[in-house]
Amino acid sequence: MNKHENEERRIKISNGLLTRSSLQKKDYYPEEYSKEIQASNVVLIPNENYKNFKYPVFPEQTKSFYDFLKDKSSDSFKPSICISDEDYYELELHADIVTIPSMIVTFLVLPILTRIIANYLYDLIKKRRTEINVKVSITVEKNGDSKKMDFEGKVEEFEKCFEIASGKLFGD
Amino acid sequence: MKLLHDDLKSINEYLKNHNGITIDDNILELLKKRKKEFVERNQQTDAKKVWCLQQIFIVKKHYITAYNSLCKKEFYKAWCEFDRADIELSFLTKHLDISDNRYNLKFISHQIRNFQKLFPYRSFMSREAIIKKSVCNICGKTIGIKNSCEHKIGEIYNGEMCSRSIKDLDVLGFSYVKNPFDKYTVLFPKDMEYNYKKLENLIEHLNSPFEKWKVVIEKTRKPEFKKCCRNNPCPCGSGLKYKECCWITGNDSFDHYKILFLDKPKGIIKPLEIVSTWK
Repeated sequence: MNKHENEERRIKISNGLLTRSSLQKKDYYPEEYSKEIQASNVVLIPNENYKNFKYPVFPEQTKSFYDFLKDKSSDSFKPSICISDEDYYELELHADIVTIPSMIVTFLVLPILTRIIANYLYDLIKKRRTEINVKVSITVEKNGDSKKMDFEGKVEEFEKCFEIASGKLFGD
Repeated sequence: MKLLHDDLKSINEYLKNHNGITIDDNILELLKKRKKEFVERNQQTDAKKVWCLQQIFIVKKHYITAYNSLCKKEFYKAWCEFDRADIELSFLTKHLDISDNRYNLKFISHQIRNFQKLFPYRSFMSREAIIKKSVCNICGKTIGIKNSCEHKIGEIYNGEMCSRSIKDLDVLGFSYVKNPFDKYTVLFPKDMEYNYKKLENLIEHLNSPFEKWKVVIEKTRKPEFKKCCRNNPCPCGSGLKYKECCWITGNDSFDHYKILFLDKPKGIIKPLEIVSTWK
């Protein structure tokens, strides 16, 4: 197995079950922020049905991650989050694995997003001064089609794995 | 080690040069007083500098307490103190570069890792909880994902670090984990006792928390496997050939923790001692 094949194995790619239009039918979709979500190209989404908890939840540190994304926003990078303040709950697991909130993004923004997530994680390593494992789940949309990318592994491998996998995502 | 003058310059020098097994506890009160004066005059930069000195003191205090606890064989207390020193240091590194080992902080950071490697703790508890309400410790405002205060976690405002205070949470359960975020959650199973032999061996030879030493972990063949050929029956008693059994699984080796004292003259090498996690 060569190095590229090894890196590809860390990412699981499947057909996306959620699209930005199907997101609007979710109970947690905040109508009052609909315009903002529609105008964005990166949408943070909650996980539903976590151990029968009745509300959807975001992983711990979502607020810090979202603030980090907002600091990087530009004409080509527009993040938003699909929840209202009233429905926002964070799940705290206290494990050593860092879970990045799930996202739906456009294909074009994927390279920028990958770099920004990597920067966020390197800042975290600097702060914690230890090796960190990370879990990232991103649904990518292109021309009405959607693919889900799930990565779990070391921070150092994340960026390279995503770069390689995203190049082949829609069979281009 | 006592502080001679109570001005900030003297405190700074004291903390830079400090390498003892005690630390002058008056420093914290003096720093709090100075910080209050700066905050009252809205001198934010100076208040932040004092916060950094406070943190340096706190890190050193926890580190020294951990070392002294080890000397008294209070191992769990030492574990928690090392962890606390590490956490407080992580707050500080955002605001102070420790790469040049100013205040001995880079050294402390490395040594905390070295000490932690020698503890036998491998089983921890992890809490699963839903955070329902948290507030900002600076302004008291409830934190929302969209509408929140302007204070950022980890930044210093009025000489205090911004953090979130959890006001309401639902605990969903507890899990057994090997690598927890909260290191204090060590499990102590009933009728079982941890073996602290590695730490006891170390402490026997250490003279100060600031003495230089390091631990090197190497894979070493277990004695019963040393003279075993690959085609021989496996010493573990499985009935298989060694090459088809423990040679593949790695059960023929163990982690050999070598402690190297960098300040002591070379000479004494203690023989290998097999130590298990439990007594």
